[in-house]
Amino acid sequence: MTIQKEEAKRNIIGKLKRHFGRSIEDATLDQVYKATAMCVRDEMMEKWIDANAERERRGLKQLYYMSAEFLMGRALTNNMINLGAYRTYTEALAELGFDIGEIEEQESDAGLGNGGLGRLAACFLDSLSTLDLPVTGCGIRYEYGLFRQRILDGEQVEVPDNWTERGYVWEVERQDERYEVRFDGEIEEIWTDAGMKVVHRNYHTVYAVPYDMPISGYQSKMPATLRLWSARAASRLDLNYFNRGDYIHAMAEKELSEVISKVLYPENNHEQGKQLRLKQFYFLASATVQSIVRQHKEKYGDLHTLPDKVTVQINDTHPTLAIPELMRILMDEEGFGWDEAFDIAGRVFNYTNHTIMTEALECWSEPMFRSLLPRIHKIISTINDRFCEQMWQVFPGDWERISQMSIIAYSEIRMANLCIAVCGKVNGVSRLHGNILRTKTFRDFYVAFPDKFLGITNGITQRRWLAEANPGLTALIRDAIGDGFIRDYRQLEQLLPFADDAAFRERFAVVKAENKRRFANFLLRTQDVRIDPDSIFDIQAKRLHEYKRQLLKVVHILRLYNDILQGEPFDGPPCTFIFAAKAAPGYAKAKNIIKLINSVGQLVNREPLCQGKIAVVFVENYSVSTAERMIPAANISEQLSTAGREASGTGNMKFMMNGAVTLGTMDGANVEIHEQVGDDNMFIFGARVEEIHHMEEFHTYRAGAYFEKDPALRDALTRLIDGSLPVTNDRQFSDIYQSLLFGEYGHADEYYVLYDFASYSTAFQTARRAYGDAAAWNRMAVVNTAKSGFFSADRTVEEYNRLIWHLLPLD
Amino acid sequence: MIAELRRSVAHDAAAEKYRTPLGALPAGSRLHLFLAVCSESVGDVRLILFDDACSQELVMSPQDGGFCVDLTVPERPQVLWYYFKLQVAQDIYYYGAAEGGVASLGAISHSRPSAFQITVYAPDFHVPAWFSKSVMYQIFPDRFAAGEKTAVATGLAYHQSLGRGLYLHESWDDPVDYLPLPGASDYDPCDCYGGTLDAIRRQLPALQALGVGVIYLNPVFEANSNHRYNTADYLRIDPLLGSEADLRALCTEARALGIRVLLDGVFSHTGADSVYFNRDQRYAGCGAYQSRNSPYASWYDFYSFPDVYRCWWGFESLPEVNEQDASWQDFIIRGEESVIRHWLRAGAAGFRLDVADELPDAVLELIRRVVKEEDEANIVLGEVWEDPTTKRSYGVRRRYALGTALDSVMNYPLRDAIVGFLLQHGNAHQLAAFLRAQRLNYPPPLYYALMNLLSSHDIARIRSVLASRLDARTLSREQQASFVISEAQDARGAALQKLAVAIQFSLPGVPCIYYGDEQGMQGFLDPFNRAPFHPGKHPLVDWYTWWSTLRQQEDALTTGAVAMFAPHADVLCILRHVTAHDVFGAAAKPGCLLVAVNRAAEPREMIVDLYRPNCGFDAAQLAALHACGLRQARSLLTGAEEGIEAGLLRLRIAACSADCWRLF
Repeated sequence: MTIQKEEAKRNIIGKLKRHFGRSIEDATLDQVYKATAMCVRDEMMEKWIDANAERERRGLKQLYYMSAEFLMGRALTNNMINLGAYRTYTEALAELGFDIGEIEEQESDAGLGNGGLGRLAACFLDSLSTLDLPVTGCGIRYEYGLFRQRILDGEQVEVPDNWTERGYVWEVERQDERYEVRFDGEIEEIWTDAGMKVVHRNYHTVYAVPYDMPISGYQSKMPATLRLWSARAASRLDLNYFNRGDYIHAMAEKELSEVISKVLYPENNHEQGKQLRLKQFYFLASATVQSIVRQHKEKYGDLHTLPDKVTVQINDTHPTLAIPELMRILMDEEGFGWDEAFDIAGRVFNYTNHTIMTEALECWSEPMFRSLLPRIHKIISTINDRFCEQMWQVFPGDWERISQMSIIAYSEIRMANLCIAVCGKVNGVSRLHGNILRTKTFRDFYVAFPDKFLGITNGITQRRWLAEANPGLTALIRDAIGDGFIRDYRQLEQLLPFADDAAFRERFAVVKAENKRRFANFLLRTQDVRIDPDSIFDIQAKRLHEYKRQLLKVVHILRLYNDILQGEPFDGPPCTFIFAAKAAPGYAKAKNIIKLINSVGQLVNREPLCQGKIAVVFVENYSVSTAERMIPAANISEQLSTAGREASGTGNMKFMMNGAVTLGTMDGANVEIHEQVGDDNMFIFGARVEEIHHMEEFHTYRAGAYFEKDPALRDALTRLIDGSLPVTNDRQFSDIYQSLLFGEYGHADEYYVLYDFASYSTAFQTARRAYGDAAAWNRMAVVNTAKSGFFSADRTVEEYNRLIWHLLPLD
Repeated sequence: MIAELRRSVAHDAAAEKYRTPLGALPAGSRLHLFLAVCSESVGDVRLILFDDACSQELVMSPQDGGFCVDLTVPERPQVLWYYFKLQVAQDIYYYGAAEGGVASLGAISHSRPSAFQITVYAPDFHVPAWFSKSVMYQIFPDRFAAGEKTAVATGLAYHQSLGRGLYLHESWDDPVDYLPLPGASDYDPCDCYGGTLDAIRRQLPALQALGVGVIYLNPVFEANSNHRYNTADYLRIDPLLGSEADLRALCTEARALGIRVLLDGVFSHTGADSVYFNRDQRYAGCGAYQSRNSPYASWYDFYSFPDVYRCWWGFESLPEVNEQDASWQDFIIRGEESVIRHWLRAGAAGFRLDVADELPDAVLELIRRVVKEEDEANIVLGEVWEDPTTKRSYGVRRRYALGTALDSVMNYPLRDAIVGFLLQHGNAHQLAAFLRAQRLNYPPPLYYALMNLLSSHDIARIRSVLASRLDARTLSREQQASFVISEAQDARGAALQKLAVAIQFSLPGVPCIYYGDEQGMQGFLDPFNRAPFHPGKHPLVDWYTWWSTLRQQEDALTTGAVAMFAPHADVLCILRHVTAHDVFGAAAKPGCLLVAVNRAAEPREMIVDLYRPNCGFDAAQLAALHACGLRQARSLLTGAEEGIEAGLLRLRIAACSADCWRLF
């Protein structure tokens, strides 16, 4: 089935000649990468086309996974592994004189996502395809993905990431399948013989052009499709202006329309409604739903059967407008009545919630919404009226409760409420998160619709995060239990007995040491930073947000620094504290924390007394490809979020799978990691979610008291303001100090950094001591990997399919 | 405009956000009222506050999201009313109570609306705790337990010697008479069965086993009828029932078993055939009818002596007394040897006052003073058929429920609400709203002492109502007599009665079992509801005993906080919670119980939010509930367990059933 080495070589040479007019001798690395990628793509395309034809022939139900973000990472290696052709191509390239590693590096890392939510979408496509379940992922083809991060003078600087600049091999543009998306204008209701007709006038058209990409799962029979929409102006050039020499006006229309798919918003968990963002989301929703409807009509004729053939998962509220958009098409274009259209929408759509931070629950200003999307506004407003009516039956007279539940209130349109009111299922992304949604965030909805709510714990694909990212460990596991775990996550647990096998542990440690060296070299190469591969790699890698509490770790480093300076013994292995985090450009506090990390890094790294004891590193531009290098090298995985704030976390799972031991709070999926590995193989600290909720409810938390009673904490915090830290402005960190001790509006230390500090210190100390006993530590590491199968996205997708989608595989 | 205001103006008299503190208020206390307004067009808001005498308009000041006003309620117990007046541009709108809800969310209107209620009660209002913790048992003395035959015969001979038409049924099993005797035009309630006080005394252990803590006896004084509401001699036990010694023995023995006895005081009128009126001259002394010089002459009002006099509802056999008359007051109430004092000293623990509406407030207050003088623990219970806080009689707003007169009243409105729910005339939401209104509008001491009845000697028995699904008032006596309740109907009635009892026993107040209800006795209106005690086909003795016992064990069910809500139109939930102190501050055994009643013919499953606000708990009570961190629910009936997650409980309840969960 798969091609042989010689054929691969021939193909690569052929592509170079035909596409780039180069021989292998004078081809650039980029050209060799592209030629190789095209070969791999050809193989996938054939399978993709055949599989889709077969899926259509059998009339299999299909999932549309709608997401504003798909954080795919590089595709080449992943695709080769999934095709079972990695070795063939590696060898073929080697014989042609190229190192696969170098070739891989040529691919731009498409960063079309911010973090967990976008990466989950990517993992899902991989898992769905691996399980042969038909899926199309639908998103936006942002010209610029998430910014690339540079650190200059300790501060984050954002650089645009133009990932399409050099051409993207994997996608296929489908000009023939473009859709018209309408903005602005007015709505008129006209009575005709056939009843009321809604006419939209004076609207503004933008075209949506799809770019499709096959995504192959492991040895998949059913490659997934990733369909990303790109905005095109109705007229790209106004010749009237052009001929008059007014080039700016000539291009204006094009720029105005095409800006829609220009940039990915750097989401920061406290986003305000912005008009362009709303345009992006409606653009995604409308184009996707139009294409779903057209395909269904072409195949089956009758839209009444839509829910039998299509299920749509809304990944967080961003694609929510797909719901009113489907109703609009059914009613305005297909002549359906309200009840029919509403019923179909309820059976087609399902919603995944990703956050319990109320400030991050998406709301749009109603006047802005109404003017941009008049017809959609009208539909949402009717849904709201009917929904409130329905709630009046459930909570008669409970005006206040109903206004909290309503979709439109106080001139705001609440996307999450719309989703819950309509969707068939609503799920959280870990068990704890699901519970919080039911008991707190959407409590009243849960009382009204108990059967809608689910909690399905996120997952990661072991293909990318183990097989691809950590070939050394993968080989070791394969030797021990075979390679069935790549397809069947359950088999990973067969590794468990090897935790007690000293020889295996030894080899496991060797692989880890090798990964650490590899990562140390990477840092030396990319950032010119030298780290000690024999030190403990203690890593916190995730978006920068106060609730994730990078600050807790920094303050703790200051405490260790103080201890060392005061001559307290620091026995045992040295420790390298590694941070990787992007901050949203508009999130000043987060950016200041990055500055703080780097300042503390300077302080510590320059201090002779700290040499050989502790070191601090900030890894620039955390991205999928950086993560793939960093995570396999980790010893300690820092998961410090305030209990109740992190919906799931998936970084925690990646670290665990790669044999890092978690030091974390009982939050998100950490709770389930703990359930898998137990107290003996994890370091748990900090307030439990009940404790936090109790303090919040009764306002009993007094940050100052912890400052007062813990001298070590006091001394560490004092470093923020006493001029010890190298900064240009000596008031640089006083805001952080202020907010921890006094807070804004009297709400000191909103994320309980001080509250959890003592318990974190103790847990860290315990973890560092444990590392001293190599056999015991490696045992823990092996147990973590062995138990990580539960966090395979395959398991997650199986649960979604069983509880929500009900898809049949193409087999 | 009004449509916009409908969405943007709100006041909920049952929610603390709008009204603090919640519920009835001790006289002279402060009250904060808030009207939420989220509309720019509302310019000025006034509170219209009024009582029966006068009305005032208070300017409300802007507060975050609306308008508020602070006021002090009057120093004297009374009921106040309020609504809001809104100035919107040139127009005036009103916001007042919505139809059927003076203790819930209101509504906007163009014209003057119904008003919300503020009950102001006496700050020193106190009802003896024993009463609120008791289960009551009502006995119609002639019909509960058959007395010793010779004693009864002696008693009957006494009446017959006076020429009275009282007669004995041959058998305890006879149906009750309801037809006029030969030659008479109306049925005369003269048929007796020979129940006695002594026979009641012999049943005390059974009543104790049923969990009874207080017996309410229908009248026991000498009178020329089987019901004895036409008192002939206030100072004599009717010889048919026994003697004063028998009553004393009954009271003494009952008290030894932890049971107290309430007597029925029929003071607004006497029998025409009585020592005092003596129309039939059966008594040796000089009655008011016989002479204007009678010592009792001033008791009665003669329009035309002697044959035209003021009488109760026009019944000439029941001349009404003049309760303002000093000699009457001395005789009945005030005197050192007054009727009331006499019987309290003989062992009674208080009186149920017949037709309390007919007695002026001042007289009721006097009765209260005397009853309590005899013993602080004594009880004054009034016969009132409607909401006692808002009752008017003879053009006067009654204050008897506000702490100066009655400890408790007969809670007929509750009975109607429960029956309405079970017979599908209304839903659980409506029932819950009704229950919350009682909780909020009644002074707490009265509320926790309400006589919560399902049947009485004046209404159809609960079993017959629920089994037949008929309103007995639409049936003639003949129809009532001949109506046959089928076996299946009775079984269905028994099933529904269990639900009614579950509600009755899980509410604050004193649940009252009308004799024979626990046996499933049938009977529509008087006289059919007064049949001799007989076992029914579907008895519920175990069910009643189970609930009585639970009430004895759980302070939560008696003087704990209460919340009522409907998670479904067919399901009523009553949540009771008590910490180490009950609502009156007395020491209590902490506990939390949830009672749910599903009237539907299907099982129901739903999520119950135990922390739902505005259901009866005030903020402090809700916080106390939160603080106990409930994790688990265990059904006390089935043993089934269910986890509680942050106050949310998945409730599964079988078709047409009631269940009680301990929450911990």
